[in-house]
Order: sequence, then C-alpha cells, then structure tokens
Amino acid sequence: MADPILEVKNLHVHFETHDGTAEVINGIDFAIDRGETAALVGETGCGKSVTVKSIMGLLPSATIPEGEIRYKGEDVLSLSDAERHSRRGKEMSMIMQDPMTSLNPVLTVGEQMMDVLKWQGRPRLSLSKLVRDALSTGAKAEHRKRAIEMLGEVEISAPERVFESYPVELSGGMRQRVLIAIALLSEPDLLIADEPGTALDVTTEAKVLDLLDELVEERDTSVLYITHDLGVAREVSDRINVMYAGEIVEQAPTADLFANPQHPYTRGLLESIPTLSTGIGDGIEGHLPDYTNPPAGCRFADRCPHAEPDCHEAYPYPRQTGPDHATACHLFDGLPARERHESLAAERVDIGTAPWLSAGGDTHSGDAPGDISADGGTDQ
Amino acid sequence: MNDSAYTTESTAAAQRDRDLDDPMVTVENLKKHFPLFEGIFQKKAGEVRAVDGVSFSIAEGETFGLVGESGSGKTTTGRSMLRLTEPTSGRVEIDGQNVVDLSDGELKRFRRNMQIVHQDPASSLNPRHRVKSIIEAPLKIHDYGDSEARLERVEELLDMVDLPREFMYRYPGQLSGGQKQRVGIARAVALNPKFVVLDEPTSALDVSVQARIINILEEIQDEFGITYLFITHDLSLLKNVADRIGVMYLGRLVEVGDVDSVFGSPQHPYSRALLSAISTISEEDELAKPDRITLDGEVPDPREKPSGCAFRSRCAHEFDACAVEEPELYDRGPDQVSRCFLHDDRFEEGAEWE
Ligand SMILES: Nc1ncnc2c1ncn2[C@@H]1O[C@H](COP(=O)(O)OP(=O)(O)OP(=O)(O)O)[C@@H](O)[C@H]1O
Ligand SMILES: Nc1ncnc2c1ncn2[C@@H]1O[C@H](COP(=O)(O)OP(=O)(O)OP(=O)(O)O)[C@@H](O)[C@H]1O
Ligand code: SF4
Ligand code: SF4
Ligand SMILES: [Mg+2]
Ligand SMILES: [Mg+2]
Repeated sequence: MADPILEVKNLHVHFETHDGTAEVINGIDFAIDRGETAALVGETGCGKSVTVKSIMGLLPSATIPEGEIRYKGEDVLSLSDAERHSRRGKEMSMIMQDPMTSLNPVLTVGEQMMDVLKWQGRPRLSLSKLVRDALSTGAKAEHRKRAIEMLGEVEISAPERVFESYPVELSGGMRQRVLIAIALLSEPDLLIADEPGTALDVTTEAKVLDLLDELVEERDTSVLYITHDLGVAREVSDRINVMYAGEIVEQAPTADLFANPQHPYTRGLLESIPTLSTGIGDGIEGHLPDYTNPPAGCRFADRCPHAEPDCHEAYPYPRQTGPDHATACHLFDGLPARERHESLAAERVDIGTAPWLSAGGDTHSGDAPGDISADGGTDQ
Repeated sequence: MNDSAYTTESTAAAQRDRDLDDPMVTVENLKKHFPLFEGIFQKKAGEVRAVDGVSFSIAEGETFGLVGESGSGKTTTGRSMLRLTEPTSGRVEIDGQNVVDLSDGELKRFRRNMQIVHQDPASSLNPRHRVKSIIEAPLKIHDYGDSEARLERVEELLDMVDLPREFMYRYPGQLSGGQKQRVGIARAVALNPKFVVLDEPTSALDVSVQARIINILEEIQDEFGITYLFITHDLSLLKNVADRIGVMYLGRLVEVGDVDSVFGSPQHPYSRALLSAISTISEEDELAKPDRITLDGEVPDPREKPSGCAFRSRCAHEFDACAVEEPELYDRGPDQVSRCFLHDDRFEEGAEWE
C-alpha cells in the first residue's frame, strides 16, 4: 500500500434499534491504492452498505465509537457536513444500491445529469432550476451532448429519450445505468459502486464493467466495488476484502484469494457459487449472528464446519498469512495484521491447522475449492 | 409401439395439454403503449410500445419464467397483468376472471388473489411504516383474523423469509438491500394468493439466502398451488425455478416453451445468443453451454422498431423476408414455439438451422 487514496482503520459503526445497540461494523481495516479496484464481498446484511455509507458520510443515525477514515491522508470523520459534501462528486462519488431512492423523482434524468456537470466539485447552493437558468446556452449544449454520450456508453439504447424521461418512466436496469452514468460524469477520483449490476443481464453488466475499467485506466480512478457475487468480484477487482458479519475476515489480491482461499467463510462462499450443472445450490447453512448480541469470539463460529470451543471465546484477529494476505481465523498462524492486536496474539489459540492443508490429509482435499495440492498423483 | 418412453412422453404431453386447457392465468394479445409528450404544451410525440401483443398461459401451480434484456418490457407485462398500470388493450384472465374488465371495487377485492414482489424493493416499501405494518397491510385490507392472529402471521412470514422477528419494529431505512427485498416477498405471499408476479425477487440476495427463499417459494407453491410469473435476467436461476419460459424482445415474445426444451435446444437466434452469455465460473459449465454469440448492435429504441422482424437489426441470420413482415410463432416441439422465418419451409435460408 504505497499510496492509498482511502484508508479505513479500526472502524466501528453502531445503531440504536428497537432491541438494543446493534454493533454492526466491528473494527474493520482496509485500504485502496490509487488506480486500484478493490472489492468488498459478503452475504446480504453483512455490512457492506453501512461501510461505504460511513465513508461517504451518509449515515446520520449511526454512531462511530471508534475508527478512522482517511481520504487522501485527511481524516474525513473530523470534517464538517459541509466540508464532506464538497468532497462528494469530483472527489468521491457513489452509485447507491437503491436506484429509485437516489434519483430525484421530480427531475428528468437530463436535469439531474446537467446538475452534476454544472456543479462539479462546487458546493451546491441553489435549486436546480436556478442552476439551469444560470447555464449559458453554449455550455448547456455541450453538457447535454456529454450527458447523452455517457448514457450511450452505459448501453442505453435510446439516450435522447432517456435524457428527457423521469425516473419512473425507466425500467429497473435503465435506472441503474442512469445512476452509473451520473457517477461517471463527475469523473471522481474515488468511485464507490454499491451492487451496481444487480438489475443488469450479464452482457450489459460486462460492458459496464469494461467501461469502469477504461475509466480506471484513463483517469487513474480508484474503485470500491461492492457485490455479493464472488464471480463478479473476480472479474472486476485487483484485490478482494471478504466481509462477514461486520468484520473483514480475509483480504488478498484477487488472484491470490482464488488460488489460495483460506478463511472457512471464503471457502464456503466459493463452494456455493451456483453452476449450470449443480443447480442453485444450498449455500452456507445457518444465519448471520444478531448484531445486538454479537458472539464474543469468532462471529462465524456458529456456521463454521471447523469451529472448536475456543473459537466461540477468543476473537480471531486478522493475521498475516502471506506477504499480502490476511485471514481472521484461528486455524492460521501468523503475526497480527494490525498492531492493536499484539497483546491478543501473545496468547495464541491452538485449534490445529486447516484440514485441507494438513500433510497427507486426503479426505478433504478432493472437493476443496481452488485446491492446488502439489502432490497430486504420488501416493505414498 | 415397443418403447415405454413414447407412452410416458405422450402422457406428459397430454397432461400438459389438459393443464393448459384450463390454465390459471391466460394473457392474450396484451399491449401497453406509453405516450411520449414533447414541449411545453405536452403534445403527444409518439409512443413507447413497451408491451406489444404478448400472449401466454400458465397452468395452476406452475412457474412461468420471463427473460429478456433490460427494457424489453418484462416489468410492464407483469404490472399490466395486475393492472398496476392500465393495459392499453388485451385480455388477462386470472382464475377465470378477466381482470381487465373489473371495476375498481371488484379489482380491490380481487387483489387478494394476485400479488407482486416489486423489482425495486426500496421504493416499494413505505419508509414511514414499520416492517410489521407493511407486512400486515394486505392482511388488514382483506380482514385476516384479529390483531393477534395477524401478529402471529407476521412472525411466521418473517421466519419464512429468514429475517429475525425483531425486525418487525424496524423501518425500511434500517434494513439492508436484501432484507428489504425479503420484506417485499413476505408481504406478497401473506395471504397465499393464487397468482404472484415475482419481479427479480432475489436480485439483491447472495446464493445462500437466495436458495432458502427459492425453496420457501416452491414449498408454498406446492402447498397452496400458487402460480408464479418469475421475471429474472439470471438464466441459471430461471433454469432451476421455471417450468416454462418466455423470451421477450422489444415487447414481444420471440420464443415460448418448456424450460428443458428452450434451454436444451433454443430455437430463436435471440434465445441462442442470450443463453450463450450465461456467466459461469466452472470449466464444466463452459463446456456445457453453447459457444458465446455476441449480439451485434444495440437494442433498438422501442419508439422506432424495425419493420418486419424486430430482432433484424442484430440478427446474424437476417435475410430478405425478415424485413417484409413479422414472423408468426412456429411450432418447434411439443411445447415450444419460436418467432423466426428460419423455421419456415418456404425459405431455403432455414435449411441448415436445426
Ligand atoms: N439505520 C440502521 N439502523 C439499524 N440497523 C441498520 C441500519 N442500517 C443497516 N442496519 C443493519 O446493519 C446490517 C448491515 O446492513 P448493510 O446495509 O450494510 O448490509 P449489506 O451488506 O449492504 O447487505 P445487502 O447485500 O443486503 O445490501 C443489517 O443487518 C442491517 O439491518
Ligand atoms: N411509466 C412509463 N412511462 C413511459 N415509458 C415507460 C414507463 N414504464 C416503462 N417504460 C418504458 O417501457 C420499456 C419497458 O420497460 P420495463 O420496465 O417493462 O422493462 P424490463 O424488461 O422490466 O427491463 P429491466 O430488466 O431493466 O427491468 C422501457 O423502454 C421503459 O423506458
Ligand atoms: S476461528 Fe474457528 S470458527 Fe472462526 S472461522 Fe476459524 S475455525 Fe471457524
Ligand atoms: S426472422 Fe430473420 S431477422 Fe428475425 S430472427 Fe429470424 S432470421 Fe433473424
Ligand atoms: Mg447493501
Ligand atoms: Mg424490470
């Protein structure tokens, strides 16, 4: 991490709910380099949107008892609302998960896109109508052209019509692409995309991903891509952060993660990727824990096939399992990935090693995902 | 006739014919055209023919899958069938009742039998209502028990969609994307309706939760004989949930058939292209699916549909006849039809198309 554009350190996010304080995000750390595409992957409800909304400052009802979010070295949590607002758009831009709620229903797509172009990086002071009036005709025509071009680039087949349409007049996939187009128009340095492909068919999604790629190449944009689909993460990202119940349980460069998946949760996710031949699969048994009463030790213990009694007690701090690979599981040795866990590491919990790694253990290796057993063929 | 396979097959076909003779849902020549307005006087300037003559039937307790690219008219079809948007013309019969003819009052009562899971979960849930009153709403409207019975039902439904019961007291804004989607599902099936439109019902869900939700939907389908229209762009999912499917292109169905026939041997050039694009992660699957056919060109603007076959501007097999008139649906199997001139003996172009 030579020159990270974004650094999240020991972030905790809590909510007050009907049944007590929900400790949703529990001490996560990750960073994104300039020009890098990082993915945040995990099941529904694991805290992906909460994480990125905290980065954008879009969670008025949350408390952040601990943690740091640094954007270009600056701690954004200590900024005022106005200062944070001024960084949205040109600096950081986000494609929200709910297209309808993030588009303004009473403005046409065109009006919303022109706003972005007009107010790029400037604090938003006036109503959009004033904005439109203030535009000189020349700039206006150019902005219009640029906006329509961008709609075409996200594979919208009738860009002029969509430009004149209100959000309700569009199909689900069109709305999602309008959001993507708006985010790209502002040419941000950091683009956060929260499940931007859920309403798109694979062909369209692939084209939109290519477009993101181009942007990254051309403008050195950094991207944080959120998805519940490891297959998509594999296609888009340089690095993957696997999230489970508000914690990052494994992080590694994408190729590394697929070649050598370590955390039992990551492995479960990989095994449950549906294929045409296997049907929809069953996924991982069990449920996310209750955030208002989270387990003391490993949050995955109730669902983990390798859990030992110690796992329920001791927090499996993330440990360095390779030069650029960290895993939060007691099955792995390694120095703590974060300094703050050094004292925890002093009392190592010994639950043995991962069964799929133990020498001569041939019982599991056959069906382990991404298995790269070196001794294939030699029986001893 | 020596082989039993023949008899089984024809029995199955006969069974299908019987079911489809008396379908739960019949759609005939359904159209929905949205007018386009222009200028300050809002002069009518053309129309978007989002759904342009769609016909299909679904037998009771069956799942009919609808696929097609974004903007092809899937949501509009589902919404017009339930009259959430007024159809321009056509006939929609659900459980023997022509829905298009119902008066507002009758329609309100009939809604008990037909529900929808909206594509955009966030905007279909009232942000100022707690989950409990959202799920309870249909129960209240249709006089389902007293408040205690309704509470019990809400709890049961939350269990069903894999959400903690305490979520009853939350507002939609306090839920994740996938959690909102499941509240929408719970609300739709609250009254065990006869017919449910599921519009991309699991798009925000990961594999594990999706599998559980699909299982539940299938269980209640078996138990109560619910009929589903399942809209999704996820073909691998569709293959697993649908009994029959329809492939939609620019407001028209270009291929309809039972799921095994359409997946096993897609007939329309568009269906073939769609199926070839299924994303896979395993090598086995790569081998099992047809070579990838990339579609040239863009989906045309539905205001300016090409003459003749609407798929013409992107079809690699286009020939003279395709520009002249629109092909009819040709029989391509016991339960498979396809709208393409390649199936017509009059033209030699179709000779090598199997
Ligand atoms: N405002 C809030 N108040 C209370 N709890 C909340 C709030 N927002 C989110 N949560 C809870 O935090 C958890 C994580 O939510 P988040 O939206 O981050 O999930 P996600 O990983 O984005 O899931 P999905 O893939 O379904 O969108 C969920 O259990 C959710 O119910
Ligand atoms: N209220 C409306 N007014 C005008 N046009 C509309 C309206 N609703 C839908 N349309 C248009 O009808 C066409 C079909 O939209 P529909 O929502 O049915 O597509 P879809 O197949 O569901 O696509 P997706 O997969 O993206 O959800 C689109 O071109 C859309 O812009
Ligand atoms: S710490 Fe224990 S319970 Fe948690 S993932 Fe590792 S083996 Fe499983
Ligand atoms: S009718 Fe012609 S243009 Fe249309 S799908 Fe068939 S071959 Fe292609
Ligand atoms: Mg989310
Ligand atoms: Mg739709």
